[in-house]
Formats: sequence, structure tokens, C-alpha cells
Amino acid sequence: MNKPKILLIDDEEKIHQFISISLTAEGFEYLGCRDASSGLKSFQNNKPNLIILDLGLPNIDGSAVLTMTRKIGNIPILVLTARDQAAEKVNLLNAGANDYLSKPFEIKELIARVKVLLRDIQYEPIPAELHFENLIIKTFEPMIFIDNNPVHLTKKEHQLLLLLAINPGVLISQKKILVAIWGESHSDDSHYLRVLITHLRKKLKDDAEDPLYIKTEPGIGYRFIF
Amino acid sequence: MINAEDIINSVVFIIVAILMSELSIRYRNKSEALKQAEMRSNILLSVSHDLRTPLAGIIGSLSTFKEYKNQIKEQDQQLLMNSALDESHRLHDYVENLLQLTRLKSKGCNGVFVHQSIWPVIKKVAARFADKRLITRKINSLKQLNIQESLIEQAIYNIVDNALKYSPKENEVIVEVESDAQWLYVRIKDSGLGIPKENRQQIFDLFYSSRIGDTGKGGGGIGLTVVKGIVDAHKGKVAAIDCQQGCTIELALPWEYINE
Repeated sequence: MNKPKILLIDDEEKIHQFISISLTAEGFEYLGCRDASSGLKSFQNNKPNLIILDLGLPNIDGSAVLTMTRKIGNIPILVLTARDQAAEKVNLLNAGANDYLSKPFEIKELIARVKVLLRDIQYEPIPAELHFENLIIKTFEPMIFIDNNPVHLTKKEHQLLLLLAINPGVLISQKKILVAIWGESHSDDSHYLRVLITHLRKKLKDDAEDPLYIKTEPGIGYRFIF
Repeated sequence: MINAEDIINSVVFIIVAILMSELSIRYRNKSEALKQAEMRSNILLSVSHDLRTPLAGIIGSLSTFKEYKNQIKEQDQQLLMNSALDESHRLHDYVENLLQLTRLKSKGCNGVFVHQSIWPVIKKVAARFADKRLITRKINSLKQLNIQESLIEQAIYNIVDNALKYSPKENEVIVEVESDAQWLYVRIKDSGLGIPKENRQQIFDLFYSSRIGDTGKGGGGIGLTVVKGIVDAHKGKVAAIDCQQGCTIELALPWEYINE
């Protein structure tokens, strides 16, 4: 079995030193990045199994990484933070972190939390492209290819298509899609979703009555068929 | 004849004007209070970050050493020990600056001034960093002057520390000493990003940082305030000059100042 890959995004060299030594000793593969943009690139290219993310990053804040990675999938994310107020921790969890650890911490605790997350969260790294007969969906950019012809999607269309296509055949409820794309406050605005589905179907050249890709389950949700 | 409606309109107008002015004062006070609260919270975050970060390095490195010492290479063991030591020094520097700041704020500078040369102080700072990038040079001959050695050492150390931290890894940092009839100049030249003109004065303000709270690059906004406090106590001047490419911080100490 391949070693699980752990991506550490932190701007502190000393944190990288001891975390890399301990992760390697525990049999994990360590990947290290010093800022958010290289972290996001490594997330796309190296397909880690878990991210350890420092919040106080230079240039782009760590919470932006949290939001961006959450749009693509459910990779386990453990946040390191120098803040220890309850409200901050609640915000982190709401923004998509699976767990957090306040600095300073002992290595035993970090390793234990990493192992728990890997054990409890079933996560398969998403490939850079999803292939379905004549349709190719780029995972990290809003683009698809139909019969090898490129078609650009909006960010929301891409997010919706990915949400459905990474779970082929599975019924995804309207509410789940609304919350994932527009947030908790729009969980009942199903007309938003109807408009978005119409636009997406047009680009996919898909027919709602006789669908090739997206099937409507009236009043419940949608599923990706292939 | 005065129209009753005009009187009512005027009274209403005056009442509205008074109300508006009262409301705007309240609004101003409220937003000022909010700004202060936000600043306090940012300062707290910043101090907390600066204390917790080196502590995280120390506790993390030592606990990793304790946990894995039998499994890891000797080279990694050394790395962990050096990391813990470096971070302890970083924490010490920070605490030292905080204490110095408190001392300078509460009772000024009441230590003993000694008539001496500044050059050994510069050499001492350079030895503390033991960094090949750090170049020291004397432009002309230097007389002796009245200084509190430990304070001047800390002031120069703080500036050099910033310069090394924010310069590209391969670039030199130059500490240059020069004198004229009235002043002794210590210039610390780096090749970092420089400082925009509008911020050159602010960098010496307490808790001024390019970092917001604990997010982004930049220090905690204490080191240069300590520098300013120490230089003021020596009746000297400190300024960021020539910051087009990199930055030069110039510290000027007067020859004539005698401790009263």
C-alpha cells in the first residue's frame, strides 16, 4: 500500500522541520509548502490524503485555502492556529476544517489527530480530470471537453457538475447542492439551482427530458448518470 | 408679520440640526471606540502570535526528539536540538524587547553611560548573528562617545535582525559606521522590499506592522519602537532613509551628549 501523503502548509521553517521528521518516522510521505498558493498547487498536483494548514500565512490567509479546497472535495484538513478563542475555533470548523490544534502543541497530539482523521474520513484524492466516454471534466479549472471540444463553464456550473460527477449514480439532494454552492443561508432557494442546472445542461448539450448526463429526481435532487 | 408656519419650520429645522449633530458625535465616538477595540484585539493577536510561534517550535522540536530519538538519524536529532535552541533565542529576544519597552516607557533610560567606542558594540552584534551575509565597515576614524552599551547593542541588534530577516537569503546586509563633526552615524543597509515613503515614520510606532493581527508577513511592531526609545534616550535620531531599493536605517548619536 502507498504511504499516505500529508501536505503541510506553514510559513515557519522550524514547524516544517519537526513535523516532517515525525511524519516520516510514522511512515507518512511529507509534502511541504510555505505559502497558500504553492499549497494549493501541491494539493492539485500531488493529491495528498490530508492537509495540515497554518492559518496565519503570508499573502493569502490560510482560511482562503480552507474555502478553496472545500469547493473541490472532502479532503481531511487539520488546522494549526495561534488563536485559542472559542469563537475562532467554531468559525474554523464552520469554514470546513475537520479538526484544529492550538500552537504550541506536542507532536504526539498532532500525530494522533492525523491518524484519527485518516481513519474516520473516507477520502479518495480526486484526479486532475474525470473521464466519462465523450465527456472530460477538468477538476481544478472550470472547463470540460465534449468530444474533445473545449467548453468553458462558470465557477458555479463547474462546482455543480463536479459535485454530481464525483459521485456518479448517487442522488444528491437539492439542499446539499444549494448549501455547497451558495451557502447555508440559501438552502431553500431551489430556483437558483433550477437556473444553474438549465445553463449547465445547455453547455453539456444535455436534454432534461432524455438526459445523457444529469437526471432530475423531481422535488428531491439530481444525479449524474453515465 | 411673522408667519406661524415659518416659525414651526425654523424650530423643526433647529431641532433636526441639533439631533443630527448629536447623532454624528455619537457615531464618531462609537466608531472611534470600535476602531480602538479592533486595534486592541489586533495587538493581542499579534503578541499572542509572537509568543506562541517560537514556543510551538521549541515544544514541537523537543517533543519530536523525545518521541522519535531512537528512530531518527543523528543529523535529524541535531536539527531538532538546533531548532529548539534557535526558537528559544527568538523567544528570549522578543521577551527582552517587551521588557525593555516597559522599562523605557516607565522610567526612561536611567542606566550608566560610559565613554567608549561604538565599534566593539558593532562587532559584538555581528558575533551574535554569526551570519556571513552581515558585513561591517568603518568609513572613517571614530572618537569615543557616551553610551549605554547594552542598550545600543540591543538597538543595533533589532535593526540588523529585521534587515537579515527581510533581505533575500543570498544578499548582504551592511552595517556602516561614519562620523562627522557633530554626529556618529550607524547605517544598516538591507536589500529587502523597502518601505513606502508614507510608512517610513510609522515603522517606529508601537505595534505598527505590515502584518494584520497574526496574519501576513511582518514582525510584531515592537523591535523598532525599542530602537527609537533607546536612541531618544541618547538624544540621538533614527530614521528610514533611502528605501528605493532595499532600505537603510540610519541611527545618529551626538558626540556632545553627556549623561546628566
